[in-house]
Parts: sequence; C-alpha cells; structure tokens
Amino acid sequence: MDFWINQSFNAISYAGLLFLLGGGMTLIFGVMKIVNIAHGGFYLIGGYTGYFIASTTGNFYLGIVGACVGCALVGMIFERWLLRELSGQMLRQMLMTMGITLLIQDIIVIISGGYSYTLEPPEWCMDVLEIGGYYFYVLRILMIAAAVAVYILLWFVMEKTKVGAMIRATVDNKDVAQTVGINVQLVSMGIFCLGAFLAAFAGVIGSAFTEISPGMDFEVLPLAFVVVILGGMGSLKGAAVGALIVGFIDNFARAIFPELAYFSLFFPMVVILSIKPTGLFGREWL
Amino acid sequence: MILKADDIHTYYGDSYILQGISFDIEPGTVLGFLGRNGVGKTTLMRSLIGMVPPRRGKVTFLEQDLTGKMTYEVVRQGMAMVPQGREIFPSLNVVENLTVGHRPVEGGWDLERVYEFFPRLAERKDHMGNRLSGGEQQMLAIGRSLMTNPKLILMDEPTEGLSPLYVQTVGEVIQKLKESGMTIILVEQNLRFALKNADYVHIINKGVIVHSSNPSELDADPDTKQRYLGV
Repeated sequence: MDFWINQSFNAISYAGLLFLLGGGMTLIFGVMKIVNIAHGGFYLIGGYTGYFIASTTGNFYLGIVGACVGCALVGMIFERWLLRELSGQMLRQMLMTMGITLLIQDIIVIISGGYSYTLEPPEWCMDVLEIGGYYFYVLRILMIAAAVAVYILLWFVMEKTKVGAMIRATVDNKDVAQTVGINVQLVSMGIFCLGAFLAAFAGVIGSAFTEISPGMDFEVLPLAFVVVILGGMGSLKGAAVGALIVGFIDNFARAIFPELAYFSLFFPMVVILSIKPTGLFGREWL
Repeated sequence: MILKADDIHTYYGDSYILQGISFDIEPGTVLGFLGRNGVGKTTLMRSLIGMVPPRRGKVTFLEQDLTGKMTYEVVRQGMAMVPQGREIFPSLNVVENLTVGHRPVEGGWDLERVYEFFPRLAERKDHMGNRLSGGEQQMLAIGRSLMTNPKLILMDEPTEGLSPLYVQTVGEVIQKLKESGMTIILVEQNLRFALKNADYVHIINKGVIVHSSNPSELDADPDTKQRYLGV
C-alpha cells in the first residue's frame, strides 16, 4: 500500500512538470501549427538561466521569474525573425525549430562549460509534510499546485475572456480570424512566448527537482511529444490528461520493470493512436 | 466614392488570376459581381481585403491606399467580409462568434442591435457555431461582420446552399442594410438574386471585367447572360 501511495504521489507531481511542458507545446501547435522541436531547448534555457540567476543573487524566486521572462523574450525573437516568414510551411518550420534547438544547446554548453547543476530551492521546499502517516516532499506538492494553477488560469483565459475567444478563433481559421480584425501574427507571437515561458518554468522546477544538464532537452522532448500526441494536439485538456497518463506509466514502469521504461512509455501512445488517430481530445487538422 | 480598385493584378503562386480589374463603388449602394465558378470573384474579394494582396495595381478605400496593409488593418479601417461558405468559428458559441471581432462605435452595431436584426441568433446564443443550420450560420456570419462596424461589407455568395426562405431573408437583410446607408459588394452565382438586389453589376470572366451595366440592362441582354453566365 505504501508503495502505491508514494508512487502515485510521485506520478502526479511528475505529471505536473510534464503538463507545464506539454501545455505550451500543444497551444503552439493549435495556433501556429508548428511542431516545436525547440520546446526542449526552452526547458534547457529555463533550467540554466534559473540556476545562474538564483545562484548569483541568492534568490530562488528571482531565478524563476528571470528564467521564465527571459525565455519568453528569446521565444519572441525566434518567432519574429526565424519562424514568421515560414508561416504555413510546416516542414520548414519544424526544421527551423530543430536548428534552434541545436543552437540553444551549443550556446548553453559554451556558457555553462557543459556542467550539470542542481538548483537549491529555499529550505521550506525541502521539508516533508506528514498527511495521514504518509510523508510528502513539499517541492513535489508545489509542482502539483503550480500545474493546477497554470491549468485553471489557462482554461479561464481561453474559455472565458475575449482574448481567449480570439485565440480559439485563430485556431479554428486563421484567414477568417483576420477578417474580423484579429491580428493573428500578434496572437501567434503571444502564444509562442507563453509556450516558451511555461517550458522555462518547467525547466527551473526540473532543475530543482533533479538537475539540469546539456542533453536534457532531448530527454524531455519525447516525453512532451507523448503527452501532446496522447492527449490530442492543440487540446489543453488533452495535455493535462496526457501528462497524468505519462506521469503514472513512467513512474510505475520505472519502479516495476525499469528495463522496459521506453517501451512502456511509447506503447500506450501507439495503442491510442491506432484506435483514435487524433489522440484523446484532438481534432482533425487537415 | 468609398472604394476604388485601379487595375489590380493578383496571382496565386504562378497562377495569374486577376488580370487587371478596375471599378469603383459609391457609398450606400450594392454592387454585384457575377461570373462562373473559378473566374476570380472570390480572389477579387480576398484581394480587396488584403488576404491575397494584388501584385500590381492599387486599392483605395476611404481615401487611403491599402497597398501593404494587413487584413486586420483593413478591417479596422472599416471593411468587413462575409466569407464564402460562412466559415463560422466552430469552437466559439454564437455570442463569442459575434463579440470576438466587436469594435464598439458610438451609435454603431452591438450585440443588442444584432439580436434585434436577427432574433433567431438571440434564441440560439449559447449554441456552438457548428450546431446551427445553414441559414442561421449565414445570419451569424453577417452579424459577425456587422459587429466590426464596417462602412463596406464584402459578401461572397451569401445565398449559397440556402433554402428559398433564407435566400429571401438574406435579400431583405441586404435591402435593410442598404437603407441604413451601408455599402455592399455582393458576389453571386444566383443571377435572379443579384439582379434583384444590386444597383449595378459587373461580370467577371477569366480575371477581367467583361460586362458592366444596370441589372435591368443585363436582364434584357440574353447574349451576354448566355455567354458568360450560361443561363
């Protein structure tokens, strides 16, 4: 019983991290129809920037804010000068984001010297909380809380505000969205920045939770892909459900039969895609 | 004159679609464009509103040159479009479809006025856009364009696929809008409808205007109708 409760808690908190990563990726796909390979790169930027800011200033919170805002700005530059001209050309955009990832990786290796770092969270995050005889690591509780808060906030903005309606209209039909006066380029840029912001947030939390090292980008990218594809590309709810599925499978598989970790991760994706090619909550795009 | 197109040439990739089109339209009138499928009528609408900018020539709207303007800028300047096939946003409900492009103007169009104009939309305001009948979707598409408070509306085949009753409704809507001073460019395949509702008509064939006249003159010209419209 202890095993199941502890592992379930770990799975849910891991799902929180995965949602932060996959949520932004799925929004970017929905609005811009870009399969953003650079999402892992944003995770890396977030982790390293967060570490460097927090360790130089001694302020963990400043690290989080600096990493997220900085990464959103980097995303803005990439969107404006590298991706916008390729609007509507899916393959070229995908190759461009691949190039961006390699660029980010190399720049980070040059700056950091290629070392791995673990971000020290504030003391209170390292505590454990006792609930009903079980001990829960506060940092993991925070991961869950952060993901839930981000989900609720995004859901509210998307479903209940005019900006959200403008974004959904752009997802539905970019051309017609323009004819009602929506600046779709601005919407695209905003969504790309938001995705970069969330990926960086995941990166900072991830670097406190385990570590950040060059190559993490391509470790988290397949996970984000599985989350987004399982849930259905473009669907926020899908990303949340996908993150939970991947969180549970990954945790239990690693604990029970670690040698099959990658198989157990991708097998459910194959099964769901063969039954429902659009993913759980996805729709036909083409 | 509210809009003037001066020798516009438009391409889709390598296809040369509009091969030099010039016309103008006076405020408060309905200008009809007729022609067979694939002669460039929809491309003309998309060129005017900046979705497929002309490669040569120029469009002047409310005394401003539209060259190089993005579609959303042209829309904010006062041009609206009711696209072919209606293209209601399926993920938005009726209210959201209307308000998403709302540009409030003193004494202009708002939700209440659109509901007054199309009472059916008020009854269905919580329905999702793709859960409406074709006729309701057409009302919604027109309402959505009105919410941007335009001076000129481009209507691309607004009667396509509608029941006779709704075709009549669209006709009444056009007349009411015209009476309120709206300028409308009407692209149609339905000759009867266009002749009845337009003040002046152009026929397009292979990317150029081949005939311009009053509706009654065109109606009395069987050769032209036969040659360019196949009726």
